[in-house]
Amino acid sequence: MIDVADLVRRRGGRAVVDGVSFTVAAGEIVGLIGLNGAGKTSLIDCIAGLARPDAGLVIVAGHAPGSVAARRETGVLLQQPGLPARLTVAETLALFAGLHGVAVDERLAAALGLDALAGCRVDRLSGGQEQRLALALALQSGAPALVLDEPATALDPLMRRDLVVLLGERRAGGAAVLLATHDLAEASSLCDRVVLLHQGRLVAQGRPADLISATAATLADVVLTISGEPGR
Amino acid sequence: MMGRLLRANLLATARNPMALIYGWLFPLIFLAGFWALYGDDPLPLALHAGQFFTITILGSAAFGLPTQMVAEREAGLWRHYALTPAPRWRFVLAMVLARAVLLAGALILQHLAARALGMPALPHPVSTLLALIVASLCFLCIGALIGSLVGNVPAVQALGQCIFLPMLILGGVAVPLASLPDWALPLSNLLPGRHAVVAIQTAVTGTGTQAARFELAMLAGHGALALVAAVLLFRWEPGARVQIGRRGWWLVLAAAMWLALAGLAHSRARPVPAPPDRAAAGVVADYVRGVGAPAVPRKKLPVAQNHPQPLPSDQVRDGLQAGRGAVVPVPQPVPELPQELPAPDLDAIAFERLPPDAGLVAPIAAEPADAALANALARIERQLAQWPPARERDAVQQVRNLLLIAAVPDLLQMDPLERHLPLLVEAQLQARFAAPALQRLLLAIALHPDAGSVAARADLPALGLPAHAGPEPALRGRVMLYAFKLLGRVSGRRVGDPSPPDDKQEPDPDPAQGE
Repeated sequence: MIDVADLVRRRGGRAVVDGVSFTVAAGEIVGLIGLNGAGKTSLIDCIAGLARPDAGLVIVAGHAPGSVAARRETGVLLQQPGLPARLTVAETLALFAGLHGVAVDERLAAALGLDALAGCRVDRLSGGQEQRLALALALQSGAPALVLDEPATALDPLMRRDLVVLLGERRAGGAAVLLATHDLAEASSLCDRVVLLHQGRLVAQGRPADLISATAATLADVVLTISGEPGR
Repeated sequence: MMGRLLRANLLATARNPMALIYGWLFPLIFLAGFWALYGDDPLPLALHAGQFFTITILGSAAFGLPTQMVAEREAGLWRHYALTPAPRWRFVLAMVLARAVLLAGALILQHLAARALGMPALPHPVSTLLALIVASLCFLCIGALIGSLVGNVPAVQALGQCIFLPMLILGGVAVPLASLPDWALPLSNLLPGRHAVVAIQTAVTGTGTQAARFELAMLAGHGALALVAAVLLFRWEPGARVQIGRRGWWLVLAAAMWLALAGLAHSRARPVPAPPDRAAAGVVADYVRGVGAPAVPRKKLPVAQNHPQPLPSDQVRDGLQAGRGAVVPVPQPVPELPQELPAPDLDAIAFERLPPDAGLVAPIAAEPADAALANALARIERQLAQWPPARERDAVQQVRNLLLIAAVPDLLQMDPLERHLPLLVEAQLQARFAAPALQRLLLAIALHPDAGSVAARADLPALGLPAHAGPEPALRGRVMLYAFKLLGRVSGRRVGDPSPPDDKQEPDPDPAQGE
């Protein structure tokens, strides 16, 4: 569903993504893991069509990223999602549903606790509430490919638990989910596979259990070891 | 999809207090400035409606719209929109339309305030609405182009000023084109400001949409090109550079078409005359040889004869067939013709000193009316059949009332109508009076401009013309001029300009006759 082959993205002459290749199949959740500056967000920008790769190839649901067809087939949560500050939660949900050509997913909104915030203006929401709204916007399109950049950021434990349930449902429904996260416990429990990035390069990928058993006791140890900072 | 985008933009704008304050309060401040300058005009503010409406539109387009676009882009909202399958042009168009609604509120408010300050009712509301819509969309598309070009809000101010100020100063919006040096006139053709002013002004004090169709077409052309360029240069990402790439040829084509529009406007532009003193009508003595004018009794005189209704003279009929207006003689109540009117001594009249017909004071058209103008004249002529002042039984007063139909539009600069209405009046007069009687009537009015009443100026809206509310002396001066001019025409002493038009021949302004 999401195919990345030899992707290179340069910024200021430096390769922030350097020859990365991996795939996310339908019905699979793949974790994208790495320290700050590893290249996760640049990679997601390329997959979402917001940035043009300098080399390599990205295919999303059979389409080039950024094309209308690809955008229709992809739900994206950005790390800093810009939201229409002066609209209410309900108006924002309706607007983005309209832009995707779907109806507002009331069940999803309720699952994310947005039904109680329907009349609240976006610029008066807390950080966690904004994150829930942005997550709803990414998920409500019903797109078969989901690209989520740190979806659990600012969410409270209850909402994180609900998020895991929601993503599990999407996986069961056949969606391909690429999940960039710093929450390694979450990645261990939720992801079918993880892709480890370090300084723009893919340094390891596989099932969390396989990586842990091969190199370390936890996924965090794996990341620190691979990034060259085992004692940190 | 478009409806939701438009609704979202409208809601966001309506909930932005600063947008409302700047968008709606500033136009009123502009209007107050115009009121301070032109509040004493014969028709307060109406002669400058094209200017202040255009400034309002321009301000909203050059600053309001691009500021909103760039602020939303900087906040990441456009980046978020980029993830949806909606095409970029829909976002640009929705923002333009939403801003147009805000602008409509500002224009309505400004119009209501202008009415409260004395501006007369719009004679052509539909034409005015159309002109405002076309001008608004044109400038808002230019605003969208600014928003696409610049990268941050301070840059909006910089580029907005680069559009706003030249349009005000060189584009004929705040400074009349007639006041510009020769080198600046071609530059004004590059900017659509002049077309907006003419289109709106023609609707407010002119003949309406058809007379301004060239300007409306130019505005539509400028707007379409700006919209295309805005979409081509549109950026979702804050801080991203303008990406031209394969769109470069389209931009080159748009720029070439823009220059072509400017060239077309330049080729169609009429010569801009020197700023006239339009109040200058002169006094009777300017147009009479020798000392003093023959006395004419001002009291109403007994009926001398009941004159039958003649058909238009061959001369006028020929003129009408040439397209100068479709006048059909309408049976009128027989006016009372004063018996003691002087026999005209036409040799005593210095017709050659009258302002040229091609000039700006008391003009008379030499060219045929186009189809749009002919329609407007025919409409006025039909309404004239029911106009009570044209049925006045006192012949002198009836002629004076009819002359007001030419004099008021002239004072109000209702070009091109002002140049053709005298021909309509002439035909009406010739349809009502035999030539000798008409000459005596016109001479009586010309020699005694202060006599009689000009109260019928308030009844002109019944003809689709604006009422005149300013000082009487300027209006009486115009009535005098047209009485002299039509006297020259019906007597055959002066038909058309004796020499090539030269505005410098117009009489010096006389403060006593000032507007």
